[in-house]
Amino acid sequence: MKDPDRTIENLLAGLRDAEPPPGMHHRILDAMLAGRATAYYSRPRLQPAIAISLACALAITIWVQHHRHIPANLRSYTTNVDAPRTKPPQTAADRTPREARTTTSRALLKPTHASEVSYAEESAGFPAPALPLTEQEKLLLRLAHRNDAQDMNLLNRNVQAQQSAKATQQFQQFFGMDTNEMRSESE
Amino acid sequence: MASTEGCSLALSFIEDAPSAVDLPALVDTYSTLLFRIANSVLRSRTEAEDVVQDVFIRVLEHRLSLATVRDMRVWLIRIAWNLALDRKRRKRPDQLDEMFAESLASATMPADTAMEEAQRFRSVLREIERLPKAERHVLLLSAIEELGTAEIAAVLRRSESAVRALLSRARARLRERLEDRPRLKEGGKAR
Repeated sequence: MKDPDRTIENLLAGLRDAEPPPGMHHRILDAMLAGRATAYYSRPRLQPAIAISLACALAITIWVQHHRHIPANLRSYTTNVDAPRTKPPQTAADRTPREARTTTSRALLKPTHASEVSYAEESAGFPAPALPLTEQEKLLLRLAHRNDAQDMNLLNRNVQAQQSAKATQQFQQFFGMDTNEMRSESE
Repeated sequence: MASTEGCSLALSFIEDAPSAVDLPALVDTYSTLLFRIANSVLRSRTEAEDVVQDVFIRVLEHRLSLATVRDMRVWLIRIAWNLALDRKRRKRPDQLDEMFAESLASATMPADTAMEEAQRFRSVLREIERLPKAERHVLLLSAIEELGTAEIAAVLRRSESAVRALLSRARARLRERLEDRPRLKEGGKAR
């Protein structure tokens, strides 16, 4: 190339003197204005979203805490039931839903007659199962509670005494006849 | 003009109170310089304008921390420089030169010699692309008349003496290669 210095200088001069396209200032200011407006309008939209998320998180925390709480008398029940076992006692919240459900139905099938457990608490099946009962579990529950009133009567000493007296009386009525009466009756 | 003033007024009105920097004034002062810097790297006027816009949008985003910027001019130049280099990486080199050389030649030369000059410009641009990166960067920044050696050194994070040495080497290498170019072409034809 002839005279490369001159060509280099011309090229660099062209770069140096390049003029921006007309209206560039205006377009830049417009873009900044739009960017500023976007930032302004996007900011308040975030605040309610954050507030709603926090409220939801708070509500869930309160709900979980409330349902995790077990009354003191039932806590002793849980401890008594689990005492002979080697496993550490578990709360309903610690169990998986399936585990909680099977444990509950097992408790309903084989009620423990601990002295401090009232019948009402036992029949209520507390703590509540984590999932709705299956059809089989409902059937077992119905079978287990079918003669509850009679079974409870059997445990009552007064009723037992009355029944025993009644049976004795019937026995006496039947076997208490004297020998002559039996003989005449047979003749 | 009136609409530009209105826009500037609106922009200054909605700025936050803690931002002490006058953004419309910044645009007025630096947009041409930043455009030239981006244009020298990208060789495209539209892309250079996009880069300038990006620079000022970034300034707007960081307007609250602008007070901590020591040298606003160097800071803006560095942002524009880095954004332009970043854009250039996404382009194919052969996309750069054709139109740009023609537009430069037609802007500086009469029409009868513009074609020939455009051809020469293309050769120079191609050789600039082949220079080592540091030399190429110094050469391109030195083309912008408003930039002194100290500012180029600050933008490229090098010492002033290193900038001077790189610039001298870049020019010498470029001249040498351009002088050798016809001989290489003739040698290639002979073969």
